[in-house]
Amino acid sequence: MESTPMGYPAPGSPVDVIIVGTGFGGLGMGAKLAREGERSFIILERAEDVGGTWRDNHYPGAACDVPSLLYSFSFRPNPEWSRMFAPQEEILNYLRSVAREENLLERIVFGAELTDARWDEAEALWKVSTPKGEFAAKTLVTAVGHLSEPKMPDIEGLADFSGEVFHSAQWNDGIDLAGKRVGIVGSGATAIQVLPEVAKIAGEVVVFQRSAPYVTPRPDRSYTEEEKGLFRKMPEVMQELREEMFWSNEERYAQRRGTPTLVSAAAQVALDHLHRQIEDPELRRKLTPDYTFGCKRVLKSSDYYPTFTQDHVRLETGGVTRVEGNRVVGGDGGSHELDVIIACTGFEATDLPIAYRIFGRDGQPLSERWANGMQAYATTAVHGFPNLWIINGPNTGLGHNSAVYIAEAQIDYIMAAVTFRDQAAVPALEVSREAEDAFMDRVDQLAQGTVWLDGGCSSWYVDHRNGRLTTLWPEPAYTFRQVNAPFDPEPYLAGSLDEAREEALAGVR
Amino acid sequence: MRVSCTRSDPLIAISTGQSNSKGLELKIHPDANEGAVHVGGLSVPFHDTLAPEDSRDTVVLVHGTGGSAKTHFRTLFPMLAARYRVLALDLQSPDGELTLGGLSAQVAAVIDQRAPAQPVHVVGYSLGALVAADLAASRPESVSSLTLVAGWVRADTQQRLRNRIWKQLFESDQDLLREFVTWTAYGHPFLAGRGEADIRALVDARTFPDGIAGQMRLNAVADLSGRLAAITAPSLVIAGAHDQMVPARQTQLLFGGLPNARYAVIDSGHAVPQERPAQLFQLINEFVTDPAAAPAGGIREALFV
Ligand SMILES: Cc1cc2nc3c(=O)[nH]c(=O)nc-3n(C[C@H](O)[C@H](O)[C@H](O)COP(=O)(O)OP(=O)(O)OC[C@H]3O[C@@H](n4cnc5c(N)ncnc54)[C@H](O)[C@@H]3O)c2cc1C
Repeated sequence: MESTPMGYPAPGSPVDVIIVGTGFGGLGMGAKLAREGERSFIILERAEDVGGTWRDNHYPGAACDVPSLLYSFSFRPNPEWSRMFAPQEEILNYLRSVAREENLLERIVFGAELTDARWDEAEALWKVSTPKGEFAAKTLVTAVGHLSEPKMPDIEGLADFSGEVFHSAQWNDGIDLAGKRVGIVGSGATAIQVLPEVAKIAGEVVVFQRSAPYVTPRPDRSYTEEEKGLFRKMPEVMQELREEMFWSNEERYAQRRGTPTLVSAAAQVALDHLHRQIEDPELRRKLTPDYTFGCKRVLKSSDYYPTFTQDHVRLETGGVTRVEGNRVVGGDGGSHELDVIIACTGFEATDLPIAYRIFGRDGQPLSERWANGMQAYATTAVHGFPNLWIINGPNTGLGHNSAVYIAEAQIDYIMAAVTFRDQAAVPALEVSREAEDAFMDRVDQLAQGTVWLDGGCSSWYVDHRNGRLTTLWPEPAYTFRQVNAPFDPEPYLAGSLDEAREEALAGVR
Repeated sequence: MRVSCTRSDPLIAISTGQSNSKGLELKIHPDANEGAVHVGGLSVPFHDTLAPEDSRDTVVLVHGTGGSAKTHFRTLFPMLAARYRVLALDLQSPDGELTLGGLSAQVAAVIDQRAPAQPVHVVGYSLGALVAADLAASRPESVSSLTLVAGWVRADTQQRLRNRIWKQLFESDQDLLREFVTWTAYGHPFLAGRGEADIRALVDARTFPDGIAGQMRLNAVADLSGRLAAITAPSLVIAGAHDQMVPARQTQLLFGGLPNARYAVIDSGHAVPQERPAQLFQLINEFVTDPAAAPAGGIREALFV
């Protein structure tokens, strides 16, 4: 996709809003601004295409694990999904169509990685640097994703591996895996999608697992022509199904609050699935998780376990200790000669790189404000960073429901905030430190007694620097919208903070 | 309310053993005190999360026909327990004929013994909704709010027809009755969204506990006509849009008769607490937080999704 020079504002002429990122978050924000039509805006994207997660993660087998009718914009239902859980390519094409049909393409500057953004107090503007030039705006909205920075495993000798190494989110299409000896490092959400596909072509596959995941059946199926026809003619049917999926996911939240009856019933579903699919007792043992259900992401797959019954597929349970030449040594002592290593080792989720590039009042880097873990008022606003709004930042992850629903709630909040600011004719909105801290205390309180803090597993949900749940929303998804979508100006105005706290958080009850 | 997770944790032991929860019965909630209250020669079990210094409002849960606190409220109970003191009971059947008054006396006895100090929020489901309404009519001082889920005023001909089929199958073919009840209990979207194995599991899980025939007789004859106007407690009436046991129109008559009621509908069959526990929780939670906040006579819109 070409950058369209039309979108470039003339140097020195600031726009109302700069959005960073063209995943679900950035495109959703752009679509709302474009539909409203009141404000000038541009979108900066470091890559050459839209799509974010769904552009980068094009590994074989990539698909969503929240059903597509729910994992899509409420304001753009799509009757064309081929399956309940659409494959990556369809999701990417959906996002491309959103960019096109919401008239966003002419406003996107591709190849424009934000390298530096500074709040200019005197002009009340954000000044942004990119390889495509300098830009300025009253409002800066970051939607750079929380699972967008690939994290490579820290393994002795990996850099000197004599074969090929790549991360699942940077899939190397130039390497033909046919007949190759392939090592898959990790056993999380990506690995379980990658393994069955790679096993179809590779000569030998070794999975290096550190900790076995809970895997539940994936109730996927394709939509019939009649269903798709009905969706086109009666879109309200899609909405009914969407709500059904939403509330059924919300039920799974109850399992995460550590109620043994529910946790064990849910764990049982996963363990029954394992028992049905794997007969060998030794293999079963290796694939049985040793931590509380739900404390790491619960995975969905119907073809992961069966892959291990194939002769050319092996499972190492101790992770990887070191790499020597073309040999990869597992923690249990197993040693394998390999041609390719695929790191399915996830993303940097708690220490976001963008925080090192944003400088607020008095030049303070956001990373410094967040040195002990990230936090934001209403999950989007940070004291010291006027007119900055963060989509999919702190406490926005869900273990059980759609990230798009979350982003839409934040987008509604930002739209209301920006409208308020313009109507009140104040140059900048900056949340008070007190309101931000009070909000976080409340989130901490809600997180107590959840499986993520008490489940005894290490996961990316918890920031190891402060032991706080900084990435997840610890409540049902619906309360995220209730708490974080309505805009209340109080915490942005001086004084009456106690009242403001009460009001902003009243919806939590 | 902590869950630890070493390998010796009973929770994990249960899950990894195929035997499910046989032998070791888990409580409905780790914080629940279990016991029984004696009333009219019956011993009525309760599950009560009361903890010292817990000053939160009390929500009382009354189950429906053929159910128990555990079978009807296994998800709703813990969701509510994160925010309220929750007190649920297992209704018992006397030797003689079952009446709404007899059942509501059991609820009253449990409230009197466990939570006498303050009026409580009563939530009744199915037959339990009629019991809860009877309680609110006879003991208004005990009830600070009333939530009636998939209840009705008086069985109509469609309900009585089903009731007769039920009775004949109960006496002649309980395997077929299991299928029939599964078919009528759940809404079409819920059943159609599941595979054959899941449906089989739902059918197999059906049990017909002692006293169920008496409850079914009561379902056919129970009558709240004329009694609703005296119930002044703020009320919330919740219907299942796809309810085949208690069609939504029948539940709406409760809304019609209660002077201080709000109405909400959930896209569910009769088994609302199994099909949509999270949405049921959302509605109850918001209502109970401030029962009079929404005006009487109003309809609660579903949340934006
Ligand atoms: C493999 C995978 C599967 C997933 N499946 C699901 C699912 O089924 N359900 C679910 O709810 N969630 C899922 N997620 C989570 C997913 O990340 C979110 O649902 C959602 O896609 C995030 O959207 P976003 O717009 O916030 O971020 P992203 O999609 O990550 O987009 C961020 C964009 O910002 C750009 N960018 C980053 N930094 C800069 C910079 N400095 N300057 C300019 N541009 C920049 C990136 O190039 C990217 O295009 C999945 C994630 C992964 C990785």
